[in-house]
Amino acid sequence: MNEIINPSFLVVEDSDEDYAALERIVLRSKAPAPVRLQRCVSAEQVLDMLKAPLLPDRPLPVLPALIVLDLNLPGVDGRSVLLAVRQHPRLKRTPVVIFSTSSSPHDIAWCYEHGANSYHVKQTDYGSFKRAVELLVDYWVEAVRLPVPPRSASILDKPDEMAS
Amino acid sequence: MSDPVDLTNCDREPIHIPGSVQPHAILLVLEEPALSILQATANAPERLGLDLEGLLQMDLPELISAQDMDYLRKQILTKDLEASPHYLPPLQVGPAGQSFEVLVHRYQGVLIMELETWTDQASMVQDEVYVSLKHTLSHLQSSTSVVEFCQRAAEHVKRFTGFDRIMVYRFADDASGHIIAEARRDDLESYLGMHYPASDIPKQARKLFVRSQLRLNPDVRYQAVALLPRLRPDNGEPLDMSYCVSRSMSPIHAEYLQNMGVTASMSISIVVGEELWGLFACHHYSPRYVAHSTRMACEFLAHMLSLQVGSKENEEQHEYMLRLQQEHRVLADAMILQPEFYHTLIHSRGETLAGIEAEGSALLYNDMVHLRGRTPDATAVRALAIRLAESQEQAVWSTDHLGGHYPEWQPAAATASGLLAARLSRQAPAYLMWFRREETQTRNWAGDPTKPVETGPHGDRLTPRKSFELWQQEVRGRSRPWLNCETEAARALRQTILETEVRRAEHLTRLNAELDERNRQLDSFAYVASHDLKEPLRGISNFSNFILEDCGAQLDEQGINYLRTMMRLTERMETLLDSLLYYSRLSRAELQTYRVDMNAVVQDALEMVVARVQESQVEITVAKDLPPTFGDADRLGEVFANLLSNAIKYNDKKPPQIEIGWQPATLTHAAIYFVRDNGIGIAAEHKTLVFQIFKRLHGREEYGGGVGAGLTIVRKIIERHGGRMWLESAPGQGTTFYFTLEQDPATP
Repeated sequence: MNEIINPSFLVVEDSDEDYAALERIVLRSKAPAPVRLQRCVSAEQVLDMLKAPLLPDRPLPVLPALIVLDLNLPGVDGRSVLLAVRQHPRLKRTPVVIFSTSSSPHDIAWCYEHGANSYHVKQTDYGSFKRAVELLVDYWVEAVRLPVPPRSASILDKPDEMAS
Repeated sequence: MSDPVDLTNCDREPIHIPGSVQPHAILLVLEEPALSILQATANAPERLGLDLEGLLQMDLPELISAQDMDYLRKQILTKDLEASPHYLPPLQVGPAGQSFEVLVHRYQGVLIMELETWTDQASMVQDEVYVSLKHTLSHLQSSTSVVEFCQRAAEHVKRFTGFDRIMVYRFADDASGHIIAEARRDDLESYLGMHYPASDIPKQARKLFVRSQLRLNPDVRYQAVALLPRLRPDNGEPLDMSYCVSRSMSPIHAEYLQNMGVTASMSISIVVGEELWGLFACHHYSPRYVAHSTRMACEFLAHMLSLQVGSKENEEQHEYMLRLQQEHRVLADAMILQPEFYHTLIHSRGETLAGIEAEGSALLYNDMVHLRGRTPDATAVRALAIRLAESQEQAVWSTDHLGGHYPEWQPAAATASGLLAARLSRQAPAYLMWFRREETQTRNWAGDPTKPVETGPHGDRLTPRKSFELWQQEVRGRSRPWLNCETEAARALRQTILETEVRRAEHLTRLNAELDERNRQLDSFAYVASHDLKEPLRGISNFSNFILEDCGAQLDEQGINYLRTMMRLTERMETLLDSLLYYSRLSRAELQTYRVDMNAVVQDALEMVVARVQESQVEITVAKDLPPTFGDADRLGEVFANLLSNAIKYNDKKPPQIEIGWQPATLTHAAIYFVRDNGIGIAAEHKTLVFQIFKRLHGREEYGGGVGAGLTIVRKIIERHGGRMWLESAPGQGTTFYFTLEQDPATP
């Protein structure tokens, strides 16, 4: 059994309602350890976070165990986030799960081609939506083993000597 | 002179060195400055009252008075007489003291003096004939066309000279002649409009006509008088008599004139620029001598005519050119407004296209043939276009002898001897064409009262009738030649058409780009709309669920029903959005086209609707031999699945029956597939409505609901395959949907 203490998900989702629904379902899920959620509302926010300078006296953003990404974001869309994450030295191993309204074969193919780990079409029907989110938690928290993040690992790309 | 001259070698006859003169003139060749006599004609001694030997040792001053000599030296010899005969006042010459009309010019180092005299007063043109030139000129200048101008000039020359017939010859580019004006004695047959071949006036004769403006033969039945000695003593050469008015004429020409019954002739050249433009040919049926003063008047007139005719002709050409340019502007302006250039041309006014003078014209474009005026038939014109396209490189090509280039066109000479063609496309044989008929004319020769019973040694070849026949043979299959301004007009029109087409193509490209852009926008609109619309839908659905999950216990049954209705509505909305999206994607997505086994496609479709089939206990018969086609198997499967489920859905019979079959292709349509049911049918007024997206003909809950996009999508798929779809229906008895999957052969 892989013991992961408080796995954290980074959810990139601009819709408050969708986030609320997702949050509700995640928090009510029967995961062995409560999942912590971080949220970004836009691609820019994620990209800024990835490039943010290190500030003293600030806790480093924690390395997420999983990134849940909506493709349809205001401004720069989710594809850029996927590309940036896959090129990021610390995040490139992190699974990225696409949650999108788009069922276009073209979109789906593109995401897998650029390193998405799975692709879910957001269902309008609540039952299906709920089922999908529960599966996500079950699968990524319980069923699979994720790469072990380094101690006090943060998203930020910093020289290792600063860690001590 | 070695060989006797005949018709075969008369173009080589050295007519500028005949070595003799006509008997009414004496010719003296003088060496300056002493004016010693080098040569004299054989008639000089007798006329001047001297013997030849004596004469040839004399100088001119010994023959004329000191006063005249003084005048000659001071007034005349100081002038430039080079190659230009100069009229002198009458001179008494020699011991006999006879009075002569004198012409003098310098040529090739000698002074040539011609002394003319005519004793028969009756056949001499009296000076009274001479009319005021001033009046003549003002009369001429009021004429509007070259032909009218020449006609008036001919009438004036007739009045000056009293000749029986005055003709104005106009030389064509091929040196053939054409009589464009004539003034004659009323009882004579007209030669107006007659053509004669180039050979009638040989090249060297035409050259002489350019050199000396006036030639006179008072009596063509003369005996030539030799020049003595035969060769110039100073250089041993024959005397060049190019500029001598009284030079002896070619025997061939003399015979020609005599065959026509002509006794006296005078010709005055009309030279425009350096070119022999034409001639006044004056004929008289008895001897006739024209005195110098009248000759001067005629020469002056011809000179005026030369100046006028050139500019008049240019003016006429210029006017024609302006007319052509005007026509062109009208067409070009119209083409800007018309989407298709050929509509402009077809509906343009005029006997021919673009105002170019021709008997007929044609426009060939995209298999369309538009003919105007006298032309070969459409099939022949098409064949000609193909022939030209494969054999002529130039964009604009013209000929006045089509049969000479394409022998198979010789029989069509009557309508198409001349062709002016402008090519409109490099890929296809598309042309503008103008046709001209053969130029030969028929002529009814009247019995010629002046025709002698006997013709000369060369038989009747040297007669106008034979000349005309020869000319007719020479121009067999030839048309009036095309003018520069006409080929230019064709070129300009072609250019304008091509520019119009390029503009149109650019416009189409732009429209296509705009259409593409619009489709893209529509696509992304449909896409964005459905995504952005789905988000609140999801929200509504989710939050309704949260209420049910969290507060369900506190709601009564009605409250719960409300929530469930909300959730059902969100689902319906989603279905609508999905259909819209699918429809918009359908019109853009590439079809995966392969050879498709339609029987397998129908089996797949039956699989798709298997639940409905079982539930409704429908009886389905499928033709075993549906013909294969090219297409996207998945999409075609959708077509059948949709039609099948409709046929099941809109059916009130027990049992529902469905037939899937086909009809073979014919000359006018491709193979037809059909799906027939015995269902509720579609009223005639709804035949088109059923294909409208989201258009339902029935209530929401009747016939199993649905959003009304099925048939719209089906028809879109068919159209994407290049086919068409239609239906036949009898309300209450059933409907048949037909479709083809490729262009019908009969549609262009």
